[in-house]
Amino acid sequence: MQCERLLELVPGAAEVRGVEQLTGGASRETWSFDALIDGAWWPLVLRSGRSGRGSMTVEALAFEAAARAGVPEPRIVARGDSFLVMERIEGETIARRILREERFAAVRPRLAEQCGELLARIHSISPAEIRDLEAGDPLTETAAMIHSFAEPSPALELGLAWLEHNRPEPEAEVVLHGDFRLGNLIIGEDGVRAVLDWELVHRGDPSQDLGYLCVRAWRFGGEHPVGGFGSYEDLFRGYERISGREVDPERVRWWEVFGTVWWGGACMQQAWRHLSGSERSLELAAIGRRVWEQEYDVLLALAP
Amino acid sequence: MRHGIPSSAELAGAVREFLEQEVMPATEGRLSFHARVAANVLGQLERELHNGLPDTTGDAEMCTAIRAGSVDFAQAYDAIRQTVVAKLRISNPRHLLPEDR
Repeated sequence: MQCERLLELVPGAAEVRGVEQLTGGASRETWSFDALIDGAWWPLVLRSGRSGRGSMTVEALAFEAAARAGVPEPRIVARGDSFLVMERIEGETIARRILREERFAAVRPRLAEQCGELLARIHSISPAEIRDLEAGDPLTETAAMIHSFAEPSPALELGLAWLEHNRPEPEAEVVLHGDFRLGNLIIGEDGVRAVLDWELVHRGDPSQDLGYLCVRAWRFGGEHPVGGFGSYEDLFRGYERISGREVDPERVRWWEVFGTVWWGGACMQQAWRHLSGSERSLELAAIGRRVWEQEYDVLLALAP
Repeated sequence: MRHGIPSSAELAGAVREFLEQEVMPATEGRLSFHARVAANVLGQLERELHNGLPDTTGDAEMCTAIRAGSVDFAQAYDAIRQTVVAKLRISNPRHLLPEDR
């Protein structure tokens, strides 16, 4: 990342320093840097992605709509069709640190309830606030994604069959974050400081976000069902108090199994980006073998 | 009897140790993380070269049968789980529940 490009993107920036790439390789890149604006240094983050479908504009609208709904979000400093510049919020995003380090010991027992509250606030956003929100039939799309790969997967197939057989009645659609889990949340000793990565924002069943947070992969080895840190009861209590809607645990379970099957397919998808030659990357190649972990987790969820 | 020529698994192990003991401590951030990913990949290769991956030639047929609804769930489940456990013993044994390790 060149300093000149950052100077162009940030209005009023006279100088930039400390440019460092935080994440990359996926469809989004994140860079951390400081910018000198009106004589003061501002800690900032650049998120850049592709323009067009699933563009950064949707992500920016989601950030702003969530902030209005009471979700802690970084302030957006500048944005375009392919980038976002926002303030940098101090805190931890790495799951294994949040789940294991002593400095988070006091906040861990409160996180599940807080996540429930935040999801309820996200689901209160009017879909009209975010243009071009995608909605579809997630199960049909996931089956098509998995079947588009040469490797047959009996475990994921069993998962798809179970999902088809137990499909819940449709529910009124809400705005979903789509990727609400550790890794995409900035956590401090005081709790959730920001909800990031709105790349997968879409419309759908409110239970989808709740179930997704409980997918075994997003427990990162933690022993508790919600994100590795909390209980279903705490998550549902926080959600119900803010939304006024009762949570149906069976429905959430369906979405938990769905999220596990979906992530299995998404791992193949990521490996394909490497294997097809479009984006050679060790990380993407390695993710391909995490499909087997999702197969195992699907089987655990469906154990007779 | 002494060995003077390393096997493929031993070469993979030597590269893994280099990454773990020399590259990871000397780097930070993304580079250190990618060195860890690389070391994990080499660990998989070592286990695969030692034990081999399970036979999955019947997988396509099994998928077709599941889609057609013509399999007994309990019977299919046990067979599928056995294969998946064998794959995870290669790719990431720590992901398994203690009883499957």
